[in-house]
Amino acid sequence: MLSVEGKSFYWIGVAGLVGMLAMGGCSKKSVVATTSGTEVAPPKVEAKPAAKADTGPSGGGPLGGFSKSPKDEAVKSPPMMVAKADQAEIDARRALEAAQKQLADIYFAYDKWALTTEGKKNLTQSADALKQVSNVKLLIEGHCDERGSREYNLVLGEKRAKEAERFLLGLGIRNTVSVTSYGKERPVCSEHEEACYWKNRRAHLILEGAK
Amino acid sequence: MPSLSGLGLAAAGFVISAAFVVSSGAVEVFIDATRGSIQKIPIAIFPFQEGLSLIGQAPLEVLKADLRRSLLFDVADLEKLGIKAGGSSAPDDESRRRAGEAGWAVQVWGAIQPRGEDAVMEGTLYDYTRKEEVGNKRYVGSPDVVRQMAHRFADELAFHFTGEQGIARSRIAYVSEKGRGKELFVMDYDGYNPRQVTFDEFLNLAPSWSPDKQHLAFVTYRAGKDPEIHELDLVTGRRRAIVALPGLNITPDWAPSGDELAFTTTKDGNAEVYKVDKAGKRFERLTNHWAADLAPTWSPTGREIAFTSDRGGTPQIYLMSADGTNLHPLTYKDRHGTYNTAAAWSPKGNWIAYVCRDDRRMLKLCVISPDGQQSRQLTTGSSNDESPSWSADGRHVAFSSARNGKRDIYMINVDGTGLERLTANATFNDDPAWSLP
Repeated sequence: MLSVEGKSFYWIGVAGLVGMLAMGGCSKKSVVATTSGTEVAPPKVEAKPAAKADTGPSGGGPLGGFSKSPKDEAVKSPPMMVAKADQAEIDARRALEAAQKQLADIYFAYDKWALTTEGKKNLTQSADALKQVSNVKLLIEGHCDERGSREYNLVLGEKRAKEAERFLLGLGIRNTVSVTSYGKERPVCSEHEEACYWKNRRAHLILEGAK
Repeated sequence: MPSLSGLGLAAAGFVISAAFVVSSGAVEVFIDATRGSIQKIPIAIFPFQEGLSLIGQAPLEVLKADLRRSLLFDVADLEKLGIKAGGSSAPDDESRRRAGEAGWAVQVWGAIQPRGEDAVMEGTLYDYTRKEEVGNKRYVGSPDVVRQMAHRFADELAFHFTGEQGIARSRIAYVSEKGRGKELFVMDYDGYNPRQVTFDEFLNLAPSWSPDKQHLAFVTYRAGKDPEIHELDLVTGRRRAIVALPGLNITPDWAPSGDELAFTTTKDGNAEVYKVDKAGKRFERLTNHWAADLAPTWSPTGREIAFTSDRGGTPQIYLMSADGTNLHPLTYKDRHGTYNTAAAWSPKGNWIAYVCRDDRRMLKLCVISPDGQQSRQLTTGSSNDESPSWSADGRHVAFSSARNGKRDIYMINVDGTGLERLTANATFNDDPAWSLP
């Protein structure tokens, strides 16, 4: 999980740096804003062969000082290796994120762990999304509102998570599924009223590696 | 008002019962303050001589509060009697005589003085009826343990008159919110000296004391993993996993022997009650049912276990022998309501406290006798009350409640009097576990 995030961060970082350099070097001439829209001219790099071939890693050789009869100095972008995007990884991540977005929390009645009609409907949609990423592990967390006792709620939360698990497996998902329960220890809403309680009586589906 | 004719009679009665308890080695005999069958011992506490400046630690006030809380003593209001003695010296004969004549035959005075870096607290127990000193105690320690000295002296008094250990030296472990996490803390039984003992920045829950007070068993979550039962050694600071089975591992309760724990695991697919030796090696399954069985609590003899089960459709309290046999319900839906959980067996054996639900669906504390013959609601009001835990003397219950807005630790006497708030910080406090003295 960490290594995936680390890699993508590196990739984005490098891409950003290249973009900034391109803007800094060429923006004044190459981007033309018009009243009818924005035309972006492709950056032209006018690199003529240099008189002296002493361009090092900094892209221009040592400074020559001012002169009343200056010679041509070749200027070019410093070399910058760019890590090529791992398209398979990007696709996997996008698929994961897209699937995670489809996984809505499902809600339960007071004191109950049976799935509601609405809950089954949501899980059916979730199953479709899960089938797109069947190699990704799924964690189902069960949660409760504050009106049950602390220890019984831990068990009730697990019962809710397991009901969701059983229903999803019945719909043919092939993901590896694990369940856990936080009882009422991790509420999403903390007011002491039903407007809040129902949001806490939930099963939350998380794909491994998704945020 | 004291109605005993003299200390001789009162003390004799207590001494006889105390001698019986000690010699028989039994813990079945105890003073039940709720029945009113035993009168409290009238006691006069003269002001201590204070040769130390003690901010927030006045031993006199600590001692008086301990004696009142013990429910064993009736503490004289000397100011009301117009007796102004002590403070600068031991109380004079005239003050002792006036207090004694007014019925306060048990008399106590003391002094707190510096000795080098240390503080020295001396206490004297005096019997006015016999006109003689019964004995003295002298405690030496750092000035920041003066409260502990006063607690210890209070327990000496309780022990002298009843043969019981007292509760003033006991501590309460509890759970406190820190950021997004919940950590374990330990405080004195009166709410002073809170100390944080875990620093996980995640979830720690449900502490249970070993009988020797050296270890806390508790439930710990680590990100993405199943909750495990760990043990923290408060002397060495060492921490180890006792139960790390697949599934939820929750609600540890240390056996009175200190050799094993009862707990709940869902490793078999649903919640079942198990026992494990303290090494975490030998497991024994005690329940076997498709419904949830959880939250075991030992009887003080170690022969029985009460637990919660929803095998009848709603969570109710059940009893079984400690080997899993003789399983039978203790609470019933039609008689005790549809939601009864989180049993805690009194160390005296005569009551089981549990979380019940009133007709407004608020969680309350109830108590029931182990034979099911007596039961009643212990707490009232419009807040959720939870997590009962008994004092060693079986006369108080610590619990958590949000009755003043945020969740805090409270204690209440088993007769419903003496409600006292123990935590008053800026965060949420929960899950109290009361140690032995």
